[in-house]
Amino acid sequence: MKRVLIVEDQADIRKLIRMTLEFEAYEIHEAADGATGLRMASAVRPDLMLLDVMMPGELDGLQVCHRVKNDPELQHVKVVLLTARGQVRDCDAGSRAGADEYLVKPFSPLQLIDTIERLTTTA
Amino acid sequence: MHPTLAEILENQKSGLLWVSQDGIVRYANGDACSRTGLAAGGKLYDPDLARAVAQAAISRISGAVTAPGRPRAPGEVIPDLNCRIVPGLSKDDAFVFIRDDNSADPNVAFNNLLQIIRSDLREPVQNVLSGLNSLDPEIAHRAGPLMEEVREIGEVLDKLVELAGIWSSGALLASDRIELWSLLQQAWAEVQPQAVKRDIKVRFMAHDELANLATLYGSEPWLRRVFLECLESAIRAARHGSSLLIEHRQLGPRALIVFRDSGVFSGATQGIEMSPLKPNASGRPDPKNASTRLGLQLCRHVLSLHGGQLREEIEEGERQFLIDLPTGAPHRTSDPQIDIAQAQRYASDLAALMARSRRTKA
Repeated sequence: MKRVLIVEDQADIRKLIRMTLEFEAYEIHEAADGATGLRMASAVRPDLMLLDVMMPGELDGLQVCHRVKNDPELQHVKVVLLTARGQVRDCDAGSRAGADEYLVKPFSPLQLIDTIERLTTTA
Repeated sequence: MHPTLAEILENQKSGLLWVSQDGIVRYANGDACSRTGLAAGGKLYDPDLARAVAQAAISRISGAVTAPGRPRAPGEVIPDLNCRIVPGLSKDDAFVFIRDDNSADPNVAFNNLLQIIRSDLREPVQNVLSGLNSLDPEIAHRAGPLMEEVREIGEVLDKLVELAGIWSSGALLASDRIELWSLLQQAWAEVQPQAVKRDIKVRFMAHDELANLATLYGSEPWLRRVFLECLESAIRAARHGSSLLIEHRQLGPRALIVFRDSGVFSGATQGIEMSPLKPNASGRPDPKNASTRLGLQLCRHVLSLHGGQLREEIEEGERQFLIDLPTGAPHRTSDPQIDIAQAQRYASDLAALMARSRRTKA
């Protein structure tokens, strides 16, 4: 069973994502901020991380993504950034941080599932 | 209904009705109940809304109507509600998202006052200044103190307009991704000529690797303005030829910009409480003091809308002036609309998701 780590500060959005993923067979883990998400990534070793970009605290999604992709132990983890910011420069910032995919809110749950399936299948 | 879905619908910040094609309410969250008086089992009373719901359910097309709501108290005006109707989870239902009609501007009096300040005070002062600038040099020399006073009044009015302009605007609700160190350096580049002119040396120090400093989300232009105000104030207060130390500290989820032993806003703060407007020798309020106080107010307001604050601390007898900001996501007093949009998107795709899941499992 593929492991997915959801890192998102909005509890409602986390629930929506969890509900979406529960239609398929995934082992789901959750974190509410970037620092916790990074710690959980090391502990859980997920196949894929869903990372909100704007989160309160010391690390935002871009910083977590950058650290994951620069950590030899974690760089294999696929990262999907979730964000309300869909401008070209935001997508570029995601690419620079090493993200594998960039979904702009409000995203479709179907699109989310498809993206996760595609990335975890090619992993 | 899935309990999580019920919780999400109930926690929508706008009113939400789940209505069947015939106008019978299947579910109404608390906000929708209070705005419309409708509850589960009730029937839509507005024909336009009922028609839009039927159309959304049958033709699966979203729509929008304005419908009368329930007065907040007996005798009050019936509010107009902006209703957005989206097709529901099956072929015979729809969702109605309800918001107040915000077209009326409640700040008319405030805007009128601002208009008076702009057109009846600031513009004449600017005209006087430009007139004084074109005076014969000898007369201009004699009018120097007068020009200086008019210029200071102009500065106060400029700041007042600026402060009033952001007080209730959405300008501060921006979500720019901001690196504070870089922003501080940008502000410094603007202020540096003033420091050079007074032979004041400023040293900046970050207490961590720059790459490790947290970012924050907010209004970059307004936070730059805060830094400018504080840097200018520090330079004004510093002795000719002295040195200033400005530090960037990271304390968990907070970023601190510390002006060490500087006189930032020293004429306007007493433990950051506003001091009374001090009269000058002529017995009139000192415009310099007013300008500083307005600058301080501007900074306090911008920072408070970012969840931050200005603070003063005494460390080993030194007065430290601190800009204290939370790092990370934008500080908001209300939940962002994106949650609602995401829930709407989820609701519209839920049926397709369930069908897909059934296909996969079969």
